[in-house]
Amino acid sequence: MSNPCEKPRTLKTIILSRDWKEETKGLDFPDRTHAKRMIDGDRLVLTPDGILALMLKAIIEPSMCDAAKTVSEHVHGRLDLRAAALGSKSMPRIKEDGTLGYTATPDSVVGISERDDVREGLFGTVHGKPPHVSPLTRDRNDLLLQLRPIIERMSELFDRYLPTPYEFQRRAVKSAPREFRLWQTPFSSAYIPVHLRSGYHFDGSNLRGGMSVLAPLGDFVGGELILCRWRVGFALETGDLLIFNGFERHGNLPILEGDRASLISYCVKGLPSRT
Amino acid sequence: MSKTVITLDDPAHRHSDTIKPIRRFPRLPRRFPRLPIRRIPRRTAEDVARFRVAWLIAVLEKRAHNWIGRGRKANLKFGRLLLRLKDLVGHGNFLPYYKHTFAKRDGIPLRTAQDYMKMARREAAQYADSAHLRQADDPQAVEIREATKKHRLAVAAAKSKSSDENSESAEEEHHGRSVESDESLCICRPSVPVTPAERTRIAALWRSEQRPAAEAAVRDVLLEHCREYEKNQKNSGSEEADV
Repeated sequence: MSNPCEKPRTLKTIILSRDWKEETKGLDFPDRTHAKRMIDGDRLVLTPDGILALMLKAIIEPSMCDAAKTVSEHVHGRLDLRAAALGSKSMPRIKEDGTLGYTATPDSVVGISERDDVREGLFGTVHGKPPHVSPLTRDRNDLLLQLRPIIERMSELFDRYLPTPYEFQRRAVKSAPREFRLWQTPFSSAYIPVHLRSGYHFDGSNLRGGMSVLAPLGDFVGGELILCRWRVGFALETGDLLIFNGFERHGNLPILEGDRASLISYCVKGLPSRT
Repeated sequence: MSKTVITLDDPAHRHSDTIKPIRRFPRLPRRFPRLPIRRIPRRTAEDVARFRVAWLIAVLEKRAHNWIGRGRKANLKFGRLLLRLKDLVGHGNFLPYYKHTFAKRDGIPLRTAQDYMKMARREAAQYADSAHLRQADDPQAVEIREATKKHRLAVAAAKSKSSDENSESAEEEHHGRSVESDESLCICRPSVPVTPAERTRIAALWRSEQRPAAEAAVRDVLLEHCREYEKNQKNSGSEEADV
């Protein structure tokens, strides 16, 4: 029997020309009304700036998704350094003596996210000065190895459907030392947020010109990804793949039912060169 | 009846009796009253020239306004395009890109382009209608929004408090008062007039290893003077009281 994930696909193209950048500036969290068009099929979305997103339905094998979902149950990172993703702002902490401390997500916001069992795990390279390998990669390399099949599949699909951004990203990763790469893929990092209902943010630490590749995991209802500037949403399910430009402001709707995790593979900017 | 043809050569023409009177048709009644004739004062050549110049000015002004409108539109469009280009070329790259692409070739200075971009931004903000884009109101979003707002207020309060404390301590330092307890040490800088040569010598001493000893000696001398001063003050106070 042939693999249903390998069926021939007809990509429909959607061209979006109306830019809502100014109108959506003040919005902090995605709402259903922000998406004029909810995409639920194999689509290539283009804007005047270039490729915005490519959505492929039911293209990743369920076994790979299950393995990745198992990994997501073992990540327990707090989102205290990802204020924008939580829909908040990085602000100075207030110490017990009333003085101001270092800048991070407000404790009250982190508390809300912990109550809702929002967790994260970052494998591979962390953007920073200098970029370094995340502690989770060093401590739980077994988990990263479990993610290898799905990440390689994501890479293969990225190469097949969008070869130019793939090549650009691959070249950037290839020039970095081995420890900053995820095998022979164009990704340097893999990020797993769990139960995250994110506010609007953009991935400023990603390689400019590269794309983020997202695969939702788990059995859930809701959690559509919204790109507010172009007022378009993507209704994702397990097994789907979304390749999108992470520099566009994005966020997701609340998860109405079930457990949702995501696997996002990308390449960080400022990777050191081998020479 | 035969038709009479009168020719000039006809002898009958010479006799008026035989000439038939010309019949005039009666005048038709006027339907409308006759319009008064408009008398235009006679214009001199100078008047004509003046009118002509005025008309020409009006036409040219109209054309100029038209072109200003078109220019403004073009500037706005140019500004909008530059904003999009700025996004695309990436942070930090726009200035060299602009200089290379537009400033050199088209001679539009960067400042002018920045003005156009500002105009485009202002226009976009003016016509941005976000009324139909409502803020998310699910419980989690509302909670996080509230928490962020509260924290922001707390940070602002802490900042203002710390700035007040800083200003107080700065003031106290300015007036030479110490906020620390009696046991702790603080720096006191007495300004003593010295010659430049002496200053150089003191600076050399301050750089040497003998500095702590010198500081201690200076401190002792100053404190000895303080004691004398306080003693004098007491004495003078008691004398005044006796008086």
